[in-house]
Amino acid sequence: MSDSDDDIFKKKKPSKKKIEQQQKQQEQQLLLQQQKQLKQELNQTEQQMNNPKHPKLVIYCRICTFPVEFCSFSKTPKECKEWLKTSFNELYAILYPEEFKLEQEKQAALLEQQRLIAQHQLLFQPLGKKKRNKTKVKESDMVYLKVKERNRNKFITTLSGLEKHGLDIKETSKKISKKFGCGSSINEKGAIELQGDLTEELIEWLPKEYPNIKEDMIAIKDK
Amino acid sequence: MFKKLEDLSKPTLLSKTGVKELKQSFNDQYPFFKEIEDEVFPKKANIQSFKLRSEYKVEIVQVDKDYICFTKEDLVIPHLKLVHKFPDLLIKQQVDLGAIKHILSGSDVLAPGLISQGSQLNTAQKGQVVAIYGEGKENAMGIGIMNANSDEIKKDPKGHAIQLLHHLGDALWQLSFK
Repeated sequence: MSDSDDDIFKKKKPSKKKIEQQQKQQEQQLLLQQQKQLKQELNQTEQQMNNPKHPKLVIYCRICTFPVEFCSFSKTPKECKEWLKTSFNELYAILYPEEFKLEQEKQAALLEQQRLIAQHQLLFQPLGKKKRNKTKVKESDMVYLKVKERNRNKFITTLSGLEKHGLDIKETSKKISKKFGCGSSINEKGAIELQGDLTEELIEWLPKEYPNIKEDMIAIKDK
Repeated sequence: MFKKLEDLSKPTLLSKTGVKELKQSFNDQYPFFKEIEDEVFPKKANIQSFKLRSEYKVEIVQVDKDYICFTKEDLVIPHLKLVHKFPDLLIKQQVDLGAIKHILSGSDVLAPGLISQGSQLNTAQKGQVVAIYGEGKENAMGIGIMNANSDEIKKDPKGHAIQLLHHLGDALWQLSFK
């Protein structure tokens, strides 16, 4: 018919969710502004406080609209207390001193429990593990392990990077083959090849024999 | 008095003569008002008034979205928020702890509440406007009119002593928090 009808259909009304979000944002902004004003005015000088001509500041509860000391006579005393805790902690300590003490004792008891748990954890740690320093390990000190499949149920592990720690390749290969009962050989590139999957055992055995090598320096390479 | 506010009319601007009469009646009743005049009624302000249809000759005055006072038959009575800001405006009477609950629900003040322990009675004449305080609290609770002189109350503590007009949490108080 006329153009005005088309405009009505073209205009999109904001959905219900957007309206609610906008309202919440506005309320939050109002809250922040009010709290800022109150905190600024609370820092009045003493001269202004004693002057009868200067207007006196009174804090009103947000939930029951009474002054803060009359909240217990209103219809919602519990919710008023919780609001006081979050916004004005100092007034909460003045008006409800017994409950403030109880909460402080609870927090102190929680801290003590956490300390005891941490101490117990230190005592009951397994003996082999030591505390690790958080310094980064250089690449030149790293030792690498690899696992390959030869046939079904047969694996090959390769060790590389042992020369940097001053170890002889032939002697180490003989030791390992005696200890674990496996075949060993030396690669073209200078790495040791062992028959079988020995990753976990090597990780435990290497730092014991040669204390130069630490646990952080061993890494498993994927293909 | 203000249990329900149903018949509020639309706001109308007060003329200059109306504002002058208001200020004069304020000054006559409360001698402390001279020093606060400029803060309460600033120069370039919007002064409006509402009328109640159900009550006879009651008007509520508003300045720049702040409710200040209401008039009742030649008496000017300030709003509770004004009394919180300037507590030296009105004479103070104190009530003991057990009576706070009843006053906040709209009852009058009885004479034994003004004589028992924890209460204070100051000198006041019949027909004066008085602020009511609670034991151990800083801020005012309500506003009322004296029914008899304070000397007579001390001799014969019987009956209603103060008639309540406005208290915390009634319809006028909730208007200012919307």
